[in-house]
Amino acid sequence: MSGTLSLSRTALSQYPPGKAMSQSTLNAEFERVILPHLNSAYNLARWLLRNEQDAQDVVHDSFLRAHRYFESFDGTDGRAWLFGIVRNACFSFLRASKIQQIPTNEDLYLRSSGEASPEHAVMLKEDLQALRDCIEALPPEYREAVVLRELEELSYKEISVAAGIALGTVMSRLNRARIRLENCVTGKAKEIGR
Amino acid sequence: MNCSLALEMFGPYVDGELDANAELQLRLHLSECESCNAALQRLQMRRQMIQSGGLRYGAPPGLEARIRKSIRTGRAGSNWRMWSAIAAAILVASTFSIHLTQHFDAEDRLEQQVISNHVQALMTGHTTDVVSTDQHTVKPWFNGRIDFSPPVVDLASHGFRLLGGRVDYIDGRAAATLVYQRRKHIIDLFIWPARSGDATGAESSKGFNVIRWTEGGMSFTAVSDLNKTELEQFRDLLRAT
Repeated sequence: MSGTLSLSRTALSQYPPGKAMSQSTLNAEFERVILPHLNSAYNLARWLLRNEQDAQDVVHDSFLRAHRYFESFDGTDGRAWLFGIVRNACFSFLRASKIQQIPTNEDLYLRSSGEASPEHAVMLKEDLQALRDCIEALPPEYREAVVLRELEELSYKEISVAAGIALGTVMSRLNRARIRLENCVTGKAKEIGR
Repeated sequence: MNCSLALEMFGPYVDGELDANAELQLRLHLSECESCNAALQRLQMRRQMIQSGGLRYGAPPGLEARIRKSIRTGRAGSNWRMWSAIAAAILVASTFSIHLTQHFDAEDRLEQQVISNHVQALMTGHTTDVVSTDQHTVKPWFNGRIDFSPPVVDLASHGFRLLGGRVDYIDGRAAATLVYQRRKHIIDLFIWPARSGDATGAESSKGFNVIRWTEGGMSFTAVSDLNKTELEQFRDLLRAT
């Protein structure tokens, strides 16, 4: 996909230009190309907004928005295109609701893996909790970079398109985010005496 | 390679975004530096923990069904919470957007963005998507990739060799990037349709010279570690053709 955001390309190039799609064809195409990325979209929104209900609302609205502008989609990378819409909606929402402080984690479900010993499981759970808190404490722009790279496994180029930032900015944000994260997690480990 | 450069490269390295040559240099450094090795291991361990820690959220049950329903009926769900928040945002946007984005204004300034792109291209070895010293090959390559046609000039006879081009994404828009070489120095020339408020002039930052000008409805930004005098000569040559 090489990040060439060609705005002039005809949307959904498999359809001959000039022949408009019927609404039902358009809906079916949207459900085939965009809707499968729902989990990815929700994951990003949930991390950016740090709240389940807000994430649901913003994702719902983002899909409606994506549906409305679906004909302007250039047909290359549906996930990156959707991420762009979702992250913009999230940042608008953040600005609106002034969510700056770290909320509680009552809606937290940790899934620890493996057949470790109970002590090990507790340690792992504490470590993961610390890690999760530290990611949530990152500035939203850094958090976005970490989520897109580590959890959604986007390339630098894909992140640059989704977030609308330069490749070099992707790299520097990720670098800084990782340094902050490491310092934060190390600090927390010292707090609990390990 | 020194440790501070090596540290900068760890991210692109573990992300698989480093080119073969840079990776080789980094591996050479790692083979003889214990503290960098330890730092790299910590980074890799942390990544592993993030990726395997079950930190990814899945959409709650019911959300997909609600979205499908909204799409079919063309009506939104009960999104009043969000709309009221967005409405409030419009009222207070000027205040809070400054507050939230303050921290990032500096790094997102255009000069910083073009320097970042320049450094990233050098670091990852990804300087050109079309490799050609022929302006008649490079210019058509941009057709269909961007919605404007950048002027492509060959300045080899003046000691500025055209190496090729690529498309960058700067300040939310696509830019045509032409890559030139002067001796050992790489020059990135970023081109986009001129906008009102596009700055002109010369400045330097982080050891790079940046010169900006507009000409014929296009905005040009040249970035290089080449000295200012020669970079200005480069600009004058482009303007003269």
